[in-house]
Amino acid sequence: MNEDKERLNVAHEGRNRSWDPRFKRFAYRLMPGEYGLADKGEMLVTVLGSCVCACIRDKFSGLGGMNHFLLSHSKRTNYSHNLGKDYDDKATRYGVVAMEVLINDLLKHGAIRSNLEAKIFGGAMVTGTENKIGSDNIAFVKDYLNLEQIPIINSDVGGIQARTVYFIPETGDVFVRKVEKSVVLTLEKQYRNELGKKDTDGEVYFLDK
Amino acid sequence: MGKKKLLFADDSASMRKVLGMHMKMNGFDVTACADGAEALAKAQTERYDIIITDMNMPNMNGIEFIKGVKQTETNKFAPIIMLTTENAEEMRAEGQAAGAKVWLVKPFRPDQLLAIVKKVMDD
Repeated sequence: MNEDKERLNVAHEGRNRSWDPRFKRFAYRLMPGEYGLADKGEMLVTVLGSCVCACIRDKFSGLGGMNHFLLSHSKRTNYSHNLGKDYDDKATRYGVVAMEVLINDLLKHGAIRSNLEAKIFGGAMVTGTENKIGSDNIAFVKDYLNLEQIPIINSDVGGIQARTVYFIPETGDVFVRKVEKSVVLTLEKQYRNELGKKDTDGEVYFLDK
Repeated sequence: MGKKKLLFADDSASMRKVLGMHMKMNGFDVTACADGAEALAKAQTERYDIIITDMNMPNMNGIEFIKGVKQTETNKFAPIIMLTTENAEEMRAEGQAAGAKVWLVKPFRPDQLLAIVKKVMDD
């Protein structure tokens, strides 16, 4: 367990960990584009506008994690419930990876795929022009989890308000608080700009000697 | 000339769908497996022109799978591409030692993968 714990913390490298007196737990705060796992006595917290987060846990061991991502970085994107077709779109590729790194890390730390269950949050319409982004994000996450056969047991998505999400993997509990959206807007905009600038090619290494 | 045969191992159903669709559209005959053990069983009986594998999979991971493939009569010379979210140097070295030709980090562009596949099949 000790070794496991160490590895869990590696996943949190550089992450803001602080004691939350209300929940009496250590809380990791995730920024847009990040993901993390939490162990016993810990929780994960994030603030969402049009971004989405998936809270995924092994329902028997209580090991769980959360990601926070945005599918669409441009207004062109219109998620069509077809991963195969949409994978040609750069934003969708980053969405697939955001889901995959979280699930992979859970499996690496001992979660069993068939025990996984998910709760999803976010995807609000935080400004007039970004309406589509929120609903695209929701459609994508649902489609992805459905394909992976990970049941969505609870969700609070859409609407017009930003959310703070508190996830306690140990118990599976999630608490959602509606918050003032101005806080979120700047952060998400920054993240969207960064995504837009990212290289579209995967890093490639030719291994021939 | 018949279709080129691709063997693909990835535990993510989404990735199997995405990559399968793209490669089929480009004229490949795609066999997709959910883990290394399942893919190795295929590799032991069928000859493939190209093999693509994920790293982290249940039952048998990508490296073990590659080592297994290198011991088959049917596919010991088939070019192998690792397609993974992992990007640690030690892991890439392990992939190289096992016999992978290319290490491609997700997310990848579908056309980029296709170009790499064509390149390694020509080598």
